Amino acid sequence: MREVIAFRSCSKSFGKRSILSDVSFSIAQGEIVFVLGRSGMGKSVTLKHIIGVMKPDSGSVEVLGKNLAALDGRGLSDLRRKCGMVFQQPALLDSLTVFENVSFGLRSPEFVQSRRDAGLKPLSESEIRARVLEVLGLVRLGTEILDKRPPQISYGMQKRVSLARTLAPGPEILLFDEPTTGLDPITTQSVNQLVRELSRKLRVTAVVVSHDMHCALQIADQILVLDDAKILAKGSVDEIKQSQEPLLIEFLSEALENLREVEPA
Amino acid sequence: MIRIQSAGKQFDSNWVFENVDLQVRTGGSAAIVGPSGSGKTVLLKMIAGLLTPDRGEVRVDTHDIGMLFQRNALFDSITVIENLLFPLRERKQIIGTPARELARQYLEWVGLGHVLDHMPEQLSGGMQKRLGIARALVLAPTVVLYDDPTAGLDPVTSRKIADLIRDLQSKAESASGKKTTYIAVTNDIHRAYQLGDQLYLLAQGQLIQGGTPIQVRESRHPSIRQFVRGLQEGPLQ
Repeated sequence: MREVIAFRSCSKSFGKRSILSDVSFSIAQGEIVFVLGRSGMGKSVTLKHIIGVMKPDSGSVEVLGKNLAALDGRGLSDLRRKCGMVFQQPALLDSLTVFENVSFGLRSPEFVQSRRDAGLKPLSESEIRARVLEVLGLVRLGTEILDKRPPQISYGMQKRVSLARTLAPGPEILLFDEPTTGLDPITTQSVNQLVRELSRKLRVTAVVVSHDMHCALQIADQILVLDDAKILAKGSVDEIKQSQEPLLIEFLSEALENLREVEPA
Repeated sequence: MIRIQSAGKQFDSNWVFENVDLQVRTGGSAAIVGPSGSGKTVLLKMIAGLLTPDRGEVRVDTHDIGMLFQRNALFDSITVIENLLFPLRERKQIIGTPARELARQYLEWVGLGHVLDHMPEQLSGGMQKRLGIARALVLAPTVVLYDDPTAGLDPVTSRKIADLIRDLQSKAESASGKKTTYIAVTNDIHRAYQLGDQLYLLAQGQLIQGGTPIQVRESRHPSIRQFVRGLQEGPLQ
């Protein structure tokens, strides 16, 4: 399996506080990886390293075969276009319709330039429309909401629209920042299933930063648990379930209980 | 005692809920769960007297109500302890050493005794939540309303906060000799199990009584069952 993200002995401190200390891991193409940990334990910092917004104090980060430290501004922005970021809040533009929100990235100068670089013409209006419908279909939304504005649709739908917007330019890596934090159990499940569906269908790599062990146990190929600047545990769902680390046992207890209730044997 | 009878609230002629009944006995606790947008905060604000019902009746047998807001609503420009001294001075005219001692006691209860002179922004999310709780309790209210007290916190911290809320209910009672009653709203079912003697589900304009945590876990009520298990199929959309 091709390696798409690799952290090699990365360390990062803010002042005296060490956030990542000699952290190494790698993620293969198409994998769903959950990065779990308590608040303030470096989860978001890890995401920011992947898109090159932060640089490690030592060690290196490689994404899609490129060492980020060696990239110039143009190279970094090329790379970021291949990484689709899904924020905790839907972060839609309320004054635009759903169609305008989802098509926004397809009209951006960067996207147009990237097509030129690949020897392609900018998308025509009808191609843009077709692409918007395609990605809305992927998140299971129909054409009836195209002309609605975000405040007119439910929060769960807004999350889907936001995901569709991220998918529109065709990213190779999807980065989710706490996609289910603060959601009720029903919406949580639907978002989690969607992450799995999309990753499988589109064969994109998904990195999910989350507190939600329950979701991780349901869909992760690999789980990383960060604590005190180190990787406390790393492995498949089955390996994590067997862990004897006290913090992991605490993280796991309610999640395992949940799993028993949700999926009765 | 908190008693709500046939209460309804509407915004722009849309009913958030139309006919809600709820009774919480003095000294008891209730946890209300429900999807976002179902009106949990609206219900809480109605009990607090911050919103008036458009129909029905809300009766609370005290004016001493404390509230923890979803975003804590701390005063950012004053220190941790001053966040408690302020309401003590403004609402109860308690000042000087007695106020400091009282504030310090509450902050120690919530585990913030070591950061009295920090600014709120220097605290982690969990610590800010603790400060919000201390401020909600410092005037010794007999009814406390917690709006999503563990929102956005990691599971370990959020479980500790819920334990703290239960613990403070008995501490406050032994300190003042008065029974306190609280209602917590949350959309985390595990927190609801921890926090409520009685659990309720607010969804689609209805408040459904689910019973004790054990009864809720095994409930056959279609909406409650769907919510607890996060099922995609069911009456809740």
